[in-house]
This record gives sequence, C-alpha cells and structure tokens, in this order.
Amino acid sequence: MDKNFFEFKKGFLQQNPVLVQLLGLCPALAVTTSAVNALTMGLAVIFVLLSSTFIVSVIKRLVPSQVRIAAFTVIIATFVTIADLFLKAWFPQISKSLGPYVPLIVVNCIILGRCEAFASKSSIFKTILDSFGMGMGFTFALLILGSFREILGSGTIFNIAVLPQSYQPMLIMILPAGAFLGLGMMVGFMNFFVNKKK
Amino acid sequence: MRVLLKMNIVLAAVASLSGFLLAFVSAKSDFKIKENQKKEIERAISDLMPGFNSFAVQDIKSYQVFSVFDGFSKQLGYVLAASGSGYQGEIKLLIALNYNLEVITGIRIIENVETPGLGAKIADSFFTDRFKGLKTSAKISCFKSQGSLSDNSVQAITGATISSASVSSIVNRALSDVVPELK
Repeated sequence: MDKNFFEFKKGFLQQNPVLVQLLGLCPALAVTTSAVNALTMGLAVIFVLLSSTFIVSVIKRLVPSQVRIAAFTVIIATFVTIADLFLKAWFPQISKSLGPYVPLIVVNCIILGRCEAFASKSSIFKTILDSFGMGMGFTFALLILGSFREILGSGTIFNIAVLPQSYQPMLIMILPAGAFLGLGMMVGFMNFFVNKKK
Repeated sequence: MRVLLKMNIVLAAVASLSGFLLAFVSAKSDFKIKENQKKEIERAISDLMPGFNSFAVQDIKSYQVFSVFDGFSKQLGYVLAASGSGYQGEIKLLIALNYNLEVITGIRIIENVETPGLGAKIADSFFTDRFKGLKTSAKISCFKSQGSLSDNSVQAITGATISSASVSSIVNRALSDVVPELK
C-alpha cells in the first residue's frame, strides 16, 4: 500500500514534473497568465495523461519496441484532439483563451515521458496512480504560478479582485518575463525545500 | 520479417482505431461548435444593436454584412464582419453602423490570439467603447498618448499599441471597402 501511495504522491513534491523534472515548461510558462487558464490547462493535461498512459499500459505487450514511440504519439494525439474538440464545443470561452496550447499538449514531454518511462513498464493500476499524481503535480504547479502572476499582474484571482483599487498591476508579471521570474522562484524554493530534507 | 509485419499491423491498428474514435467525437461536437459560433454572432449583434429582432445576411466583397431589423421590420443599422492580422494572428471583429452608415455605433472583437493580459484587452469593453460614435466618412487614427487625440481617433491600450492599431486599421479597411457599396 505504501509503495502504491508513493507512486501517486511522488508527482507532487519529489518528482514534480514542472518544478523538479523541469518538463512541460512551454505550456507552464505560456498559459499561466491567469489562474483559470492554468487550472483548465492542468485538467486537460490530467485527462490526456490518464487516458493515454492507461491505453499504453494496456497494450504494452502488443507493441513492438521499434514502433512504440510512433504508437504512443498517435494515442496521445488522439486524446489531445478529443480534449480540444470537447473544450471548443462545451467551453468555447476557455478554449479561446488557451488558444493553440491545447493542441500543443501533443508535444508536451510529460505525457510521452510518462508513457515511455512508466506506463510501458508498469501495471495498469500503478500507471493510473502515477499519471494521476503527475497530472495533479503539474496542475498544482501551474495553478500556483498562474495565481501568483494573476494576483501581481492583474490584481485579481479567478477574475475576482483581491487587491485594493489603488494597486498598480505589475504588467511584467503577465508578460513572458514574469513567467520566468515566477517559475524561477518556485523552482528555487522547491530545490531548497527538497534538498533541506536530505 | 515477422517483426516487420507485426510493426505494421500494430501501427495500422492503433492509427485506424484512433481515426474511428476521432471521427465519432468530431461528429458529436461539430454541430455544437457551429452552434456556438452562430450563437456568438447573434449575441454580439444583439449587444451591438439593442432591440434587434432579425437580420439578413449578404456578402459584399469578402465581408459578411448583416442588415439588422427590429421587431417592426424597421432597419436599425448594419453589422459588418471583418478580419485582419493583429500582433500575433488573425483578429475577427464586428462593426455596427447606424442605418444611414454615417456613425459607428460599436465594435466587438469575436476572435483574437493577441498576448494574454495585454493585446487581448482589445476585446474588453473599455477599449471597444472608444470606437463608439466615430464617423465613417474619415479615416480613424490610433494614438499612443491622450494628448495627441484628435477628431475621429482612438487611444491605444498601454503596452498593446500594435494590437490597438491593428483593430483601427481593420475597421478602416472594412469601412472603405463596404460603405460605398451599401450607399
């Protein structure tokens, strides 16, 4: 049980995909201009990650190793397209604000990474735990970065004003430079926190 | 040889299953996506033209022109759908004109991929409201600072001068293309 729980939990701190493994940084930097965008992106990644690693884990014995990357990519692309169509049809507003970053989940290395490094070698149950943990870790990192940037850059969180009217928004925080500043601080904090425990 | 055959069969199976799945999802969501776009245009028109009841569409050059009527079939004005390039990609917008085509009664951005938090603010009402009441007879100019504002001009959004100027140039081009044809 402890071992299983570890597969789930490791995605949050020890092996957080964004803050420790530094994977999937392109969407993490690009869509975190607001907390809503960050959360939606996180949920879309959880969906794609869970579905594709599940399928990969189910068919792992059938796929010859020479074509595994090609097969994984097709599987990932399928679920990304489904997520994209779903958002377009039922959440057009959010789909618009995420722009091209939903289709770009295809090339998010967290997903191919988990398929290749974990799902293709592990049992279905462990794969689900691992993907869920990694997806939550990704969402968690994006949500914190998104909230941080939205509060400082627009004075709001989830579009609700939290800072007084007199606050002059720091525009730089919603520009790409703000993403690097925010992420750098988070990675630094994470390193300090994880290293200290050792 | 056996491996080669297996590779091909597995990849073909994965790809065709994915094709079937996508065709199914696309068939389910396609009509919903189209409906969203249509609803959005209707909602935008009713916001731009209070009292809107029905509209007729015609194509002039590459523009869609909606003639908008109220509940008593009286013409309220026109709405033009125009598009052009912005800072990062295409901007699609609607321009509402009064019935004699002389005054812009409002604009609305329906699609843009400008920088979130900066250029994307062109879709906010504080910016689109700046186009209200401008004349169609003269070119609309876009200025950075409030001091240089003159007749028929709008002030650009701070940090998004290019996006703001793109909107005004899309509006200018649409007006000079369409208004003479309607008159």
